[in-house]
Amino acid sequence: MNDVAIPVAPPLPAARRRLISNEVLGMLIFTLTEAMLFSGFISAFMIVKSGATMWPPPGQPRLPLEATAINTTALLISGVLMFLAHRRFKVEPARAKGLMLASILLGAFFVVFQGIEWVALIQEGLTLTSSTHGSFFYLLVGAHALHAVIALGFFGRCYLQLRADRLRPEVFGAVQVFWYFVVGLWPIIYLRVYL
Amino acid sequence: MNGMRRLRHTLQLVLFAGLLLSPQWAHACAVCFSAKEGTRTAFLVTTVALSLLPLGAIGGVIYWLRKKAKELDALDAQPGART
Repeated sequence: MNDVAIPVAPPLPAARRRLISNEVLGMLIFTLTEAMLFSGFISAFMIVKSGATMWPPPGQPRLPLEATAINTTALLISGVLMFLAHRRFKVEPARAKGLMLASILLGAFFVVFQGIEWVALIQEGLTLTSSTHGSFFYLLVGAHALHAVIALGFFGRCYLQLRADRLRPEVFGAVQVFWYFVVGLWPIIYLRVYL
Repeated sequence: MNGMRRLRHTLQLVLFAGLLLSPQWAHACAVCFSAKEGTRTAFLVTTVALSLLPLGAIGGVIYWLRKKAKELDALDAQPGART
């Protein structure tokens, strides 16, 4: 009998662990770039505002502080409900529907309320070209509202998938990151632009 | 050869010292539209914030991932954990 060398297969590499899903990582990178964009806007606004002799400029309306404070609260509650919905989703997905729907409705309330506020301000003479105050207001608040609308679209799609029992945790995680960004950014804009 | 290297190092040192000692030459006012102290302060504050924000954000993500990795390690170390 001749000794025949049997080739031995190299050992298989250890299973790779995924710390974070691709969806969440992609959304994190996207929100970081968006954070830089808004930081640039807010920085420019702060510098221009600090150089003005009067703010808001003469002839321009004051922004509705109290009404927007209520709106801010609605958005913050929406963020909390999203957090609770995600926690419940991990344990019992079917029972997260109510919380998610409530979060979406509060987010939609925020956007609609902003629209009503804009109409009133335009009627009072605050437009994109009326002053630097108007330009920055519509740029900052408008960019945020655009993000809120897009996030609500994603959120609504998630809700439909959850109802159909097809929602993947990775997708929910990514939408959650985006919604937290929208919710977390708003108080900063409110404090800087409105106060 | 040695002399050339020394000359090059000396020139580099002079250039560096020139840049370091003459900041007025490179002084460019980013807030020339308003010479107020408040504007200069706002410029400084926002510059610091914009510089630190990306570092903080990336650091935060790394910290979170490390924390998550440690949690998974602890789970794997438990008896009866998957191999």
